[in-house]
Amino acid sequence: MQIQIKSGITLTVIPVSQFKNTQVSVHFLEHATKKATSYRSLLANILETSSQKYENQILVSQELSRLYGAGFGTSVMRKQTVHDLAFSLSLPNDHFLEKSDRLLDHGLDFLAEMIFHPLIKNSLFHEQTFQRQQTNLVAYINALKDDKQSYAALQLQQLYFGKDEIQSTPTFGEADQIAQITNQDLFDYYKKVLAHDRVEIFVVGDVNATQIQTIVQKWPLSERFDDNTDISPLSYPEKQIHQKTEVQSIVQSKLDLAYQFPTNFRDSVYYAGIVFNALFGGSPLSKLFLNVREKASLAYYATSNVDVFNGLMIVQTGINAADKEQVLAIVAQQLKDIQAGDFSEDHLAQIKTGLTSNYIASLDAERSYTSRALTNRLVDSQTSTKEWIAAIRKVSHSEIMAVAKQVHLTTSYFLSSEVKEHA
Amino acid sequence: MHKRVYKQFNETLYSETLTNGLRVNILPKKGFHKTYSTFSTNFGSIDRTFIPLGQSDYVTQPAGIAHFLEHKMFDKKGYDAFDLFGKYGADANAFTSFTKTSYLFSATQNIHENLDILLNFVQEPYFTKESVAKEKGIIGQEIQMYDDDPDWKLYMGILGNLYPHHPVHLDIAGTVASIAEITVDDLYTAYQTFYHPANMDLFVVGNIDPEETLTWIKENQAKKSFMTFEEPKVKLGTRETGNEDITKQKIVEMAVNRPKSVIGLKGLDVVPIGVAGLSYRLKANLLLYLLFGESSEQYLKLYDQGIIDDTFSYEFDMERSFHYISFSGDTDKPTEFIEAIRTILQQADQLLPQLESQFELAKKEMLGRLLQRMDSIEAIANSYEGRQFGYTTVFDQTAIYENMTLSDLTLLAPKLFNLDGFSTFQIQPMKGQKA
Repeated sequence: MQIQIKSGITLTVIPVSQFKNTQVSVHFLEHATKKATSYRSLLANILETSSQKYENQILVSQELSRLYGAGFGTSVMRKQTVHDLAFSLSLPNDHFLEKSDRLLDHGLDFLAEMIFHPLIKNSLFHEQTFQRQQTNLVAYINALKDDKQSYAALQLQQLYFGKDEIQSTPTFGEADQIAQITNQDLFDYYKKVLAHDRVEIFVVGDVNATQIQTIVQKWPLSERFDDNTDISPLSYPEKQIHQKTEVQSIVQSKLDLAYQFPTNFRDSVYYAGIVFNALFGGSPLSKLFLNVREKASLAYYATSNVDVFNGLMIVQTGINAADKEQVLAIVAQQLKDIQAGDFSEDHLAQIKTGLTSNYIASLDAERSYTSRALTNRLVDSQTSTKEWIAAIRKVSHSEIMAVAKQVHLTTSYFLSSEVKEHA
Repeated sequence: MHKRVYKQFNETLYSETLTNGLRVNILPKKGFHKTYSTFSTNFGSIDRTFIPLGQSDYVTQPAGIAHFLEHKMFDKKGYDAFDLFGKYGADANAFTSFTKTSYLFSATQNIHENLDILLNFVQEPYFTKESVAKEKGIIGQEIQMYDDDPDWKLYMGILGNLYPHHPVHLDIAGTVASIAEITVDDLYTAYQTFYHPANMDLFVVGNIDPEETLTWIKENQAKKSFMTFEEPKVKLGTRETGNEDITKQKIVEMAVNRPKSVIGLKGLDVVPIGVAGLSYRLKANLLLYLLFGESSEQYLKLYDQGIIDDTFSYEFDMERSFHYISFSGDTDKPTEFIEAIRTILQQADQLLPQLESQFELAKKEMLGRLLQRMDSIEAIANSYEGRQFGYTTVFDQTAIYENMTLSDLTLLAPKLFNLDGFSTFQIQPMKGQKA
């Protein structure tokens, strides 16, 4: 159920009765820029820790305990060119508590407090909080380099997108930019977010929409008209080949590959693209899993996944440095095989069953209702479970071959455990 | 079939122990779409020195045997269990911990078929020399992946300090060298000793009818015969609860960007098993939450001093034959971090009496967290620990929390916080090199 609260502010209530908890999320959406990505990341951290009423983490977490261990958090995400700064809250439904005390009302009030009434001193964010969160976020981003799998994926992303400022920036921002943000800059930016961002609110659970609407309508948000959150079909960049090798003192090497992927979200070949990915490397029944891992014993993980909003597929593997050429050859061969139609109907049927089964299974997690609803709002279209499943089932052998023929390897990044000797 | 109704949560748990000893738990979840099932044995990475079924002397198998066996179980004569699950639309997986091996699937259809596949592939061992050799490459890469993971290194580092003579200090997957020694015979020996139905639990949660599901399981089990069950005899090293062998401090260098520290506190007291064991664990969790959780004065103070940040976490692990607390985080002030935690542990008896109102709030918090877990069919099945905690489930935990008092925690603190079991492990960035 969709309720327009004001221009640019929408409430979507999704009534589901199977859960004991209610999930609320508030999304501030804006066209992403490199600079704003860092601002929003720091903002998310500051707004999570305190507010006027709850001046420190103790008071915040005690209030969450009063809401029966409600889970609260802020997050940042990007879907193509749209940046999402989100606040989410999950709390139990009154039915399961001994005293029924309209917990959801209190939960919504808590969210409003955290979003609209940050801890302010002298028309700035509380200086100590600001500095602490700035220091911590910079340290956190620097320490992410110690997770080699995600480090390699980020390096690949930067290499692939090259000069595309938005897409080559990590969603959590950049440490050196964050370090330069001043309290005044961020506070001004915060006011801008409240005044201009598109706002999408979602509530999933066994709830009453009118009750929620009454509360949300009182939130201090004015109408807004400058929406710039369109997700548009991609125009593909020139095909360029990029390769990079980096050596670190690690044990396992990472070979990551990026491919141009010829589908956009829900376009005519979208479903064929989804099935292709699951067949190629996106599931445990995939050709990469079967051939790189099970047959050749070269890796523990060898997977592919697609970002349909950016027309991108990436392959990630963890291997011995000496096996690099062999792994490259096997991966390339799997793509060729699919292009040539060299996969059985049985295998294809299994892949489709796995996909539809996962889709249905996702209906058992409240979060997936929210994320699907947000996507629907962003692309302004709806697909029912039935339609999705029917579309996956309809994908033919030749449609998958056609997609595969348009998948092009453009970038490879190798994080090597050893210095290669010159032969 | 035994039926246990949890009225407050509108849930009913059905359970029965079959004639072959297999304990079955079934929890129907109305309105849910998928069914999740785990089939687990009380056999984990610590169980490497044992008397093989039908023999009389202890043998010690290569480290990593339980995990290797888990991987190899999927390979069957003429088929792969993974593929067969795939054919019936199920996602299958397995995991090995220090004390347990679990095989699992989740599916939205063909539940009867998938349950049969689960029971059959785990109960029909088939190992060959060729496939054992092949698996060594895959698991070798799994081990090397963890070799580069500083958080895992930190975790194994503190276990090494606390338990130098207990096999929990050995990596669950073993090492590249130890798995190289694993043979087909080793796998059969371990299998026969630990995979008897009487040493196993089956848990099914989801969109199912309990009576019908139990009938399927019984029909499947009736077709198989098993040897007489003998309780596995496992040796877990010497001085399991003593403190005389603890390494007090260790610092290693690794290619990391920030120093990482962990403090371990080995449990030196003797803890109960069964429901009393669960109660001990929940009390310990609440105690730690009150002293070190985000709503504690101590947390805020250390956070504001820049000694801890959002990477700080604490954990109480209590499994068959060992229990310990760990406090870990990225910190540029490791010495201050270690001293601060030590001081709080020492002052627990003075701090606790002032926390009456926080204690009541914490109980509310825990009830809410349990309700969150009740919405996840995976969490319901995975948190079941069988015999160790008296065959309880997440639904039994609320009553334990409700009956808890602050003086329970005051009594527990001196037993649990015995600083004779205190140890630290640090990872420092390599000198002269940036990762």
